[in-house]
Amino acid sequence: MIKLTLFKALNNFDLDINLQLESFNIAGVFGPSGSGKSTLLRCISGLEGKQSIYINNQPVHHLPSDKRGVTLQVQSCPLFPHLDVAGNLAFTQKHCANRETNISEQEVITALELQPLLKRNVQSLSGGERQRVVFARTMLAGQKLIILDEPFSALDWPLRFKTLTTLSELAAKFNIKFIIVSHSLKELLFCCDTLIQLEKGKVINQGTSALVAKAIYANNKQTPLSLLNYDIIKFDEKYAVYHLQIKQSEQQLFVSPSAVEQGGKLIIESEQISISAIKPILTEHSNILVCILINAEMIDSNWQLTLNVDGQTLYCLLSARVWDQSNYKEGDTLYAAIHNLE
Amino acid sequence: MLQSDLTALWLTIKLAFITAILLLVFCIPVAYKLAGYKGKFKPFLEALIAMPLVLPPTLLGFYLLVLFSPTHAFGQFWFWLTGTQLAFSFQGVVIGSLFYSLPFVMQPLVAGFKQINQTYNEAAIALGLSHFKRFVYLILPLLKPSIGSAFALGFAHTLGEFGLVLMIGGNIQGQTQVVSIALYDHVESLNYAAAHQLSLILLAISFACLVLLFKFNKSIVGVKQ
Repeated sequence: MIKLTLFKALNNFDLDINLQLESFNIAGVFGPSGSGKSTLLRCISGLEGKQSIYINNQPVHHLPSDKRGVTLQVQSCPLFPHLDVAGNLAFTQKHCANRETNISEQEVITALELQPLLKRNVQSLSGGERQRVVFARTMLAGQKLIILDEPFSALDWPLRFKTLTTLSELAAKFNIKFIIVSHSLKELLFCCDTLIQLEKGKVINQGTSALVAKAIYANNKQTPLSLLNYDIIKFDEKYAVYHLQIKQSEQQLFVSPSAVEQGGKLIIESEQISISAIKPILTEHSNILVCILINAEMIDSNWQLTLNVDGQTLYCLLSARVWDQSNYKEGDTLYAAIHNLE
Repeated sequence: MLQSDLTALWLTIKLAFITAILLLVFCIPVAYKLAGYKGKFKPFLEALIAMPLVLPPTLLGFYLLVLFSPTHAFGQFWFWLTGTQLAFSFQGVVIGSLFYSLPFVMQPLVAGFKQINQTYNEAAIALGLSHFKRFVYLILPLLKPSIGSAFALGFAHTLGEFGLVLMIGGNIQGQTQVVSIALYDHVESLNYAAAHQLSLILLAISFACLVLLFKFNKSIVGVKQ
């Protein structure tokens, strides 16, 4: 549990936060650049200010950074240049005191696939490689609360999803709690169970990821994203596609290997979905899901439709003209064709 | 080569080495504090340390000579402590050189600490490393190029001392006669062959110091990511 009361005057506004995070595994802090996200993290870790902060009901605001049981990975965190990759990892494991997890160097190296990089000079690493090594080093500090500031911004999306999946697995295996700051809702929705939305130094939304995301979509802050959980049925070698089944449903999908390698969730942008009341003839869209229209609301000049697929939520956008001609009503059974999954 | 020249050469190298080492011992902790200090006295402290850069060495030598004299409290204290005088002694010249070369050792170290503080030290704090471990296992190893650079500058600058050594130490063979003073003597006595010999040796040593300095500077650039 984390409870904090922060007040800090920044250049354009005051960071004024009263926050209580009861039960979470991976919490995301979302907000535009300059909304106070990084300052919030620096205050929690003790790099800035002396604010009221409780972790697991214990006050930590009087403690220096190395006694708080928190590891912060600052934005653009550098590797130590006098050591190679293996040296950076060994350095952290050797010199970080009060380690609370027994995570080993080898486990982190294997999980993040860093073996080929171990002997490399840190200055020869690409931005993405550097971020993976920095994350490995953060893990090896051995704390149970890890705060990451834009940790994977240099990774391309498939590798970023894959690394976030590894992060979720490590969190579950070693009972580590993460707070991740990002300006990408897609990244946070993929791995976080809790979301905090910051704007101009204030928390404007807090709760489960789905609820906060919905509030963000309703304010037209972002194009809606849908996440579908699935189980793999098999890999069809003939067509090089995975055959998936939506969790707790009989409905199935065919997707490319790259989408599956990202982890156990499919991220679907609203532009990828088209709907109709009649089942489409099977053309190039082999991925058609039966769903129920839960809600439709006008946001800006478009209609945002919330669809239920056997317990999971899909969001899609319709122009006002198409919506007016469609006569869709809440409770209608619709067919959602999902494009570009194969 | 004259025996007296060899003695002067050895004395100069000894003086430069001792000065550079003592300055490193003094400057490393002071530079660490100074690099992180943001108080209102910062410009005053920085100016104080940089003073020898702009002062004529003879001025510095004159005041130190006054300080070392048996009529001054400090000179009397030193005599009571060691039974020797600082004026016209090798120890006196060493103390003078410490003042004279102070900014040349201090400034590369302050710059090195500032660079490390801004990036690597903060990353190590965020990882949860204690103050002691950060200093010993991270900052000092990262500071190696700056230490090398500071040593080379302090050493090379002390090699070329003239006015200050002449004021404090006089020109006593085997005790305070350094190469620059021996060279001056040769020129005064029109012994140009000996002057050439000493000059060439001094040139070679100074050049080697500068090569080392630039080598260290190159490694400092390598620290940046």
